[in-house]
Amino acid sequence: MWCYEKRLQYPVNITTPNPKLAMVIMSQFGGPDGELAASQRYLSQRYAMPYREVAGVLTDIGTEEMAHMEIVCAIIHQLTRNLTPEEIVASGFDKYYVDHTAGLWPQAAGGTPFTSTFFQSKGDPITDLHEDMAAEQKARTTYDNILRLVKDPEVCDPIKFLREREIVHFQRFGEGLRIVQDNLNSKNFYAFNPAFDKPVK
Amino acid sequence: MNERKQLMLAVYRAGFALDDATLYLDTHPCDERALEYYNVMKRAYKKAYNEYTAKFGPLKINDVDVACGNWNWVKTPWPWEMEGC
Repeated sequence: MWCYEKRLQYPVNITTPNPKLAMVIMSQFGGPDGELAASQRYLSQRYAMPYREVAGVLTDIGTEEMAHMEIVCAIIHQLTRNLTPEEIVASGFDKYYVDHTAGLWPQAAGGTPFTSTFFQSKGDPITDLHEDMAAEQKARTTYDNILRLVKDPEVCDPIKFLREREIVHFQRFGEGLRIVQDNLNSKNFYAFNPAFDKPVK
Repeated sequence: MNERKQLMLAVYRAGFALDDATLYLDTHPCDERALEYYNVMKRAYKKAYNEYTAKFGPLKINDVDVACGNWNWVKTPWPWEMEGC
């Protein structure tokens, strides 16, 4: 089970609203390489991971991704406070606002709703860990793309933190893949799926 | 910076050190230096956490002291409110 701690993993204090920027950052909430997809990817994959250290990585990174989702949502919430109808129309936030007001709803920046097709849970440890490493790099690229558009240091600061975590997670998943391979036949990692087949002696 | 923010910053710092060390230890469970680092940071976290919650209210549900006759879990700011950071 989970235990909620009533704080963010990294502080968010944004004093100047910017709904246009909020629309872009929303992709890291409900977009294809966002934090919601990340958390559900790792937490869903855990059950088919036969090695306890690597199931630990999936559990603990999956948990951290939920905290990242909360940071991204806090950023969007603070960027969309106290808006006037004129500001909503001028910024292009009106298309989101008409369906969700200033509430949080997981979608990509372009408006595509969140879907579980953003991630895979393949039931094969090697396949899943490759997906996870790619996912961390894709999220890192997305944060790099966001950082090119952000001028406000109050927004840059937590986004930079989140970007760095993608790199650390990539490293840990790489170590997880190494642990999986160390448990397999070094002459043929694909001889069997350790999450499904009985190894042939 | 007011006292609440300062104490919260100490919780953030030690809390993050623990989050990061946790992931490293998952894949290096026998690394003695990392285990020692985790232990040091855990002490720092507990100290900051206890100081914060004693003065400024609960961070987890089981910190709530019902003896005061008030469910103060919902009386302190939520983390996405500016006042909660």
